[in-house]
Amino acid sequence: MSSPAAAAPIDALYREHRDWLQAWLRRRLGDGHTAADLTQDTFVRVIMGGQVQAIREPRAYLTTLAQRVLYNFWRRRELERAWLDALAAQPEALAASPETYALVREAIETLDRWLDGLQPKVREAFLLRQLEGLAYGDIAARMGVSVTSVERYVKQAIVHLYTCPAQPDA
Amino acid sequence: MPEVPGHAGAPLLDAVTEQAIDWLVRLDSGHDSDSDRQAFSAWLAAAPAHAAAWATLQQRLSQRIAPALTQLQTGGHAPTGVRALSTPPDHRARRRALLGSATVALLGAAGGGGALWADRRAPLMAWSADLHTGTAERRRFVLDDGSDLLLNARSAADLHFSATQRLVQLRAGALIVKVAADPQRPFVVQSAQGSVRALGTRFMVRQDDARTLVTVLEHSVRLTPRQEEARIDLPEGRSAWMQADRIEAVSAARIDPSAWSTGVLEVHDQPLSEVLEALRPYTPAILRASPEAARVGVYGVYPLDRPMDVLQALVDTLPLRVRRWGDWVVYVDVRSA
Repeated sequence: MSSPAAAAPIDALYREHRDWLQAWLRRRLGDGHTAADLTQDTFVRVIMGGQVQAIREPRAYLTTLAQRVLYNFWRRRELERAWLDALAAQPEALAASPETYALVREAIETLDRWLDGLQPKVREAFLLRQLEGLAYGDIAARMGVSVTSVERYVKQAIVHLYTCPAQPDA
Repeated sequence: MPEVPGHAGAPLLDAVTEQAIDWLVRLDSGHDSDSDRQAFSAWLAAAPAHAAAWATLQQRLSQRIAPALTQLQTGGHAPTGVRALSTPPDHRARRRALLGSATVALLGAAGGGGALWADRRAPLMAWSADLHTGTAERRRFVLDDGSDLLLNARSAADLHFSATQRLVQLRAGALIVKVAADPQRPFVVQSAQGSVRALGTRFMVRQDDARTLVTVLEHSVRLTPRQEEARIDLPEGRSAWMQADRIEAVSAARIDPSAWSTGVLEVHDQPLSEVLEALRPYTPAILRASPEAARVGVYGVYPLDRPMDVLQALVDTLPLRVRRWGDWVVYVDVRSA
């Protein structure tokens, strides 16, 4: 976290650029409340980054971080939507409490971050094995690919999980 | 400044780690054979570096994703999770973040139909479990101390044996253990809710959602819930539910909770819901019953290893009907006259 010496630059950065950043986000979101939330998220990233003194172009730096925050925001919405669609397609709706719903959403987002960068079919093969417990042969039949491909996908996912940095970007 | 993650090219893996990953891919296929397992054991024993790489791999994967996987599985959210996570990303999300756009219109990207929910246990848990079984697979293990452990289908347990203790950690499903005498090392089975210490020889422990069922087959056991100092000795022939903070006696069970050990399910006027519960580890299909059907009383002796035959027999003798969606969902309802 930031040392006392770093607090002042962050404070200055926040005062000088917060309104500008929030307006920048609002133009992209069309929604003032969300823009305010994501502005806070962006500054949290600045603090976590801990390198405020090295920033030469504050607005370029802020927009780079804000783009990532925006992307994550949209990605979360997209995941949620895909999950709700999958839920709605079930023969019988699962009765989920709001707490369960939040936990499930969080678990899906966590997996999404760890699997970030992998192709959908790689994710699908890996998750059919890990979440649904299907054998490779069944996964191959379900996905319409060979068992060898399933093996390759699963390996690719495991290598990715093993080698990616300890903390996936939230 | 913080890295804006794209992703770097795959970092190099050392050769042993890659071998460990290859083993994992092969052993966790759902088709692994005894010869695979033997070859794997030989590999593992061939060099300390092999075992170390294997342990690191297991540990890292578990730490990273096991909690999220378990979260989805326990609530029955596995299939919807798979679908949501393997839906191709809407690249516009990334583009929009990079280029900017005034509107946010999200498309429902997932196709409909065919999604199921499953109550399968986590294969990932089984990866790192010392003992584990798949669907419809019962296995007997002879432990180092001579104790005999029978693991029900879709179950997993870890062994922690030392000079002072014999601890079996039940992670999923059910086991029956016949304990070999060893006065120096108590034999304890631990579940999520507490521990069961053998005072005699033979008992069953079953991990259900949020509670543990213990049945004593010979002599007695001592139950210690996780959050309680109180201990209770449970005598032969009795069963009890253990929760983290209390123990509840099970009144004279009409269904023998350990009946699975023989592969036969004998029921006398049991609600159908309990019969389905016993069948679940023996089929990959999802078994559901309507509330009316769940209460229908069932009699008879049924083979656990052929769950679909059991359902057929039920339909033939009771006012029930079975609807199926593919091989995956079986729904039992009452038959209207």
